[in-house]
Amino acid sequence: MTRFLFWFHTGLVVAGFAGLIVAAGAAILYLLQSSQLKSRHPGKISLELPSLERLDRIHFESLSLGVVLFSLGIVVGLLWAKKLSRMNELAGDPRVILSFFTAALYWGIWAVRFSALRRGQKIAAGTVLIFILLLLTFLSPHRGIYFS
Amino acid sequence: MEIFVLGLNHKTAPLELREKLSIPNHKTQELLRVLGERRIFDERLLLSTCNRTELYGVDGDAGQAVLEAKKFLSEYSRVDLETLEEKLYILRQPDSVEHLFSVASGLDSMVIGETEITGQVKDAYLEAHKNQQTGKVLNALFQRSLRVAKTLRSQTEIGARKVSVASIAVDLAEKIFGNLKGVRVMVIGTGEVSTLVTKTMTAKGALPLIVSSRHYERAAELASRINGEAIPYDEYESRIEGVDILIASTLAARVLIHEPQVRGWMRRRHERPLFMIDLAVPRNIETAVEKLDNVYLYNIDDLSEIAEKNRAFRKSQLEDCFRLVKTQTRYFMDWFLKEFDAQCRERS
Repeated sequence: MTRFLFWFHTGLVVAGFAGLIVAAGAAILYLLQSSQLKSRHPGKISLELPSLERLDRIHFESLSLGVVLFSLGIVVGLLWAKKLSRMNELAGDPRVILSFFTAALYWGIWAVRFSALRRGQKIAAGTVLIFILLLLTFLSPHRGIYFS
Repeated sequence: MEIFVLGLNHKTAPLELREKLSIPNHKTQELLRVLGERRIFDERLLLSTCNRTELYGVDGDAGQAVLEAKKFLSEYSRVDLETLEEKLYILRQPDSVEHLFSVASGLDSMVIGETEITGQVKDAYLEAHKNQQTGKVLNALFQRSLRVAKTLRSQTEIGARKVSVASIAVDLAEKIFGNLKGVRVMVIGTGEVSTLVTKTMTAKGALPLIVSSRHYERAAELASRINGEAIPYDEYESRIEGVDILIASTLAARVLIHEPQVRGWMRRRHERPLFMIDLAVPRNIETAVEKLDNVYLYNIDDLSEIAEKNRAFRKSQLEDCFRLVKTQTRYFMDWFLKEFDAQCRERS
């Protein structure tokens, strides 16, 4: 069971991460297209890129999927740690803390976009910044829980 | 057997002369019949657009047929033969073939790379074909010319960038909204350019709202023509929430739309992108609105500048296009000479 939970946790985190990579990519392209159109002299890049509407849709859909899968991954990871009775060790793990923080930020930006309070350039820029934080999360020190 | 073209166009003749030689659609059939009765060429086709009138023909007796054709054109236009001859170009194969391929592809048009001409060439061919004025040579030549036009579009970027203000505005709108189906366009003012832009957008599925401060009847009339809605000026702000594209084109000598106003609109619109096109001179929209997130502001100079850049880009494609046309002409002439080799040899 613990092995299953471990692989389930890993699979969900990887799938969520993939969704968030797509979201960050779409957000970068959105910002690029948007700045091209704002410049009033859109060049060849603008012609090659999809419309803002399409990029926004790809961004929002992949963000939604990524956030849900990534968060589920965290929850399954907690269940796995609980199963191994190693919950205490997680409390001081920088990577785990950063993961929680990043997921919370992702949920925040998702909620703002979902409620249509804001959209467009600021949301796209927010997604890119949180993605950078996510990358830092993966690079942060990790104590690790291993099978005994 | 030789392929000829006699004609004049915007490069060789002034408008007054082109007008006289212009052939309205309803007259083509009759003129083709007269050409047939007089046995001017064995196969014949008339192509007449706003910038050119051309007579394509195939005949074994070059000198006589061309002379008869010139007399016919002079008679039709009521321009004396001498004056007409000064402006008329007469091309024989392979130049006539190359010329048709260039014409059909829009390379010889006033607006380089325009696509309307391909449809006009097709219509001219269908008309002559329907009236049994074409034969093996012109059928093959005109069908090939339409294929060449298609090849040029797919293998070069001659038609990739738009060159009219209206189509550039539509392209930009599509880069923002993807598809214009259901997109709301509000037009303040009923100027000529704004009407043209609105019509082009409406043709793509956009829903127009026409606002007028002074000529409500004109706005209502325009709205009914393009299946839109007319609203009085004092109501336009209450409808702004549902609008995606705002075109301003009034004669007002002052700025009508200010930055704080647009900021408020954007809040109410939950920051949905807003495409603003200011076609008025002096401008109707304060330039500071371009700094707002998700607001895309273009004025008439911006659109004209893009058009100019795109025209230059199309010109840069001409070398590749002419190379392709020359290759296609060679292929056609190979087929033509092989097919009519016996007759050609007989003649020589």
